[in-house]
Amino acid sequence: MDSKTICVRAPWFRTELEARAHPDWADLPLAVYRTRSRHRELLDVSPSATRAGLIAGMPFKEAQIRCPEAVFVPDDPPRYEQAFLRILDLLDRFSPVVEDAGPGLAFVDATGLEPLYGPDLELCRKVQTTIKEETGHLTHVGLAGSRFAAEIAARTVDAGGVAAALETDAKYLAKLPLEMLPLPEKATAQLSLLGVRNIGEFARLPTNTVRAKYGEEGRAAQKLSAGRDDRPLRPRSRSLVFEEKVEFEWDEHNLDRITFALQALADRLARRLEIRGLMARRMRAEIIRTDHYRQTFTLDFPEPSAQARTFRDVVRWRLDAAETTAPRPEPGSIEATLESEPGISTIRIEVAELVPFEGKATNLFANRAERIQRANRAISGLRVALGEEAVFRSALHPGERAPERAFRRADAYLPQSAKRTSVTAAELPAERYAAGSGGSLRLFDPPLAATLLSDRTGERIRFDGRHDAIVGRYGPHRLRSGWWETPLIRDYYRVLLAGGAGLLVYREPPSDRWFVQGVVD
Amino acid sequence: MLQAVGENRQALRLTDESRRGLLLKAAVLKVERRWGLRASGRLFGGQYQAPVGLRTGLPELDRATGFGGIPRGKLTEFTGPSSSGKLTIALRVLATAVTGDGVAAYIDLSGTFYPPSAAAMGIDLDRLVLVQPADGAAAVKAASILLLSEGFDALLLDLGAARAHPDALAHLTDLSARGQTATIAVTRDWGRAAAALRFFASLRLGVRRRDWLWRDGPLGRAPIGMCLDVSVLKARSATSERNLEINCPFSPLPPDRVPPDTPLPQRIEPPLPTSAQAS
Repeated sequence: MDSKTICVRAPWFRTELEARAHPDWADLPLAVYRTRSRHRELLDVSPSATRAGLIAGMPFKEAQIRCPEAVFVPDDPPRYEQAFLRILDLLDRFSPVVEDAGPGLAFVDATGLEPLYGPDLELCRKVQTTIKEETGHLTHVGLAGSRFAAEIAARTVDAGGVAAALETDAKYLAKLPLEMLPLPEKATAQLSLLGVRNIGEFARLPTNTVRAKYGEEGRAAQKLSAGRDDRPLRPRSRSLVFEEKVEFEWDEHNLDRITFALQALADRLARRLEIRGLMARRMRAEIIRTDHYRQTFTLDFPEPSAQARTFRDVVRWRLDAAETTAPRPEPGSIEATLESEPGISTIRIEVAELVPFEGKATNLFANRAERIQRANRAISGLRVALGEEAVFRSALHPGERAPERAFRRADAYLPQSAKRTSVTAAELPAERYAAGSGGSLRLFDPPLAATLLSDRTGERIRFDGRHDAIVGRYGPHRLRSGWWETPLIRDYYRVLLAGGAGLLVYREPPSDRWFVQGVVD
Repeated sequence: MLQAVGENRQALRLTDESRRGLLLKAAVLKVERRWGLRASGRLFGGQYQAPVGLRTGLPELDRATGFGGIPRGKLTEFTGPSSSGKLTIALRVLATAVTGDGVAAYIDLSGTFYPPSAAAMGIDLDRLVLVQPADGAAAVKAASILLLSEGFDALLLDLGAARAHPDALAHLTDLSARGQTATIAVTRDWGRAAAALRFFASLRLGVRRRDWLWRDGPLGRAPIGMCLDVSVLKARSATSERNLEINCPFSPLPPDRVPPDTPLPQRIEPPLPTSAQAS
């Protein structure tokens, strides 16, 4: 064989990803179905689903009838593509030419790799083991002269195995059944009736006859059956990433010196971007301490940036935050006694998702857009320093009545548009029903359990260690969820206490339990 | 002769005045060198400008502060016991800040912020960034980052019972002045308020609720606002008042202005069942 191609196939790639995202589905038959086509069909099925009779390509309705206990998950192509990049990156270690043929399938040009990795089967095993160890995905690996034969080898191999065509592709394919060829089902049936059962017999048929009978499709299939696959491997387009790093020769503790080195690092990155006329949308930084504690974080900029100051500040904020987040030995422990305060050994920054530089109009006076940009930069900094979960905006569900469900978290970055999109006070039935007539309510989530007492002196409430008399109440507002929601029946009261507090209280009629959900402040 | 004496006296007086001016300049320079350029009130050599106030929507309170509202570029503290109405006033200021092109941030240390009530008070939630830090130190750090950007009109620091380090507060005071951000700290109890906050705040308002404002509704008497006692505990302005009583309605949307297609809640019997009967 002059040329060699490896096909790497992860047969359960999508279902494995879904099972990892939802560990409680691990023991259930799992199938991912295609949602973006007119007819919904199964795209990928787990081994247990295969045993239950499901196969890829089966119509969704049929699959539901055949295996009602299975979990059916709609596909999420961007997530699968993103996850498959990891495998492609690993394949890059073996060869410079790697083709991405969609999530779960890749081809690698293995020509001339024998001196580096040994015999073909050894190479296949190394590829498989590397992927298994680094990503945990089980792959089938096939090696042959052409990509078609390599794919067939990867498809026909036993689960978790590797296969290499040790002879020519034509000889390897000759014994395989005709159904392996990309021919229409009707043509395959006709050929079977004519006594053509395997690929070798199809390859020996007269070329002109095959073309006359089955057209160009048949001719192309016959070329493949003869081991001639003219389709070249298309190396995947790798996105440009700029990386710079600084390594200190000693344990660096001094923040000023670190900032100085960081400035030089950021300047180099900015210079490289400037030379290429690019701006970065994403930045990834890694801070390695002398005790090998590694802190990595990624930040998506609200707008592309090529400024050294931005790169520097992001890492600086993280360094400030690291003082409180990094694990430290227990005070008084042997480790704490033996170890001195760890310093910084390496800082690495890479910028990705590069876009062409766009000129920006200069404003002589600070205007609204500029202020929003500044605010968004600060939000970026906060996300780095405190974590992405800590910074957000909120949006309302106007139709939702339960206070704890009446809002959700929204993207933290401020919109450039001045147009108001948030719900106004007039659109708030939930507020009126659930929280009475307004006021700045502090919401307790989860609500505090309360006890209501009544005697000759009047009504009293006990909650959270407090005990106070009720001097006024307004309600009840009956709150009942729709039939399509989680069942919820509550009677809400606005309660005023003798001590002065104004509470939002509710009773659950089925259990007759009382809760304090908020306090007016 | 007499004329000559008069001229000499004039010259002597002028000399005294110029000498007095020189002494004054030297004193100002000394103060600025020791306490910073803002300490003298000259603001980097320019004319002193009184801080602009963000309106609270309560004209009596705006007048009482002496700044025409909550001052921009300064640190303001609202303090008072639980359920006193301090957060209600603070949210009113945020509602003013986000009007038009404004942007505000709310650092919610207690994690009890309820967006629907903020929206009901007129705050555009698109323009309000929420930060929920883990502790007081992280809250101050978040405030520094937000103020450093100079992109926010108002910053509400809901500290609750947490205390802030004096150095951090000094830093915050300086940063708020840079971006003309009205920084508002809400603390729980003025008796236990941190001494540092007392020192650095340009305006301190003690809020206590005197009574509720009522309105007869379909389900009984409904609280529609609060009658507040506001004490100006400290104000770095010449025209502040000491104590005032103000009526603070909860919301710009009074309960009787509910959209007509919204059905009114029905009264349910029995009126108030109890979970236990006390003897």
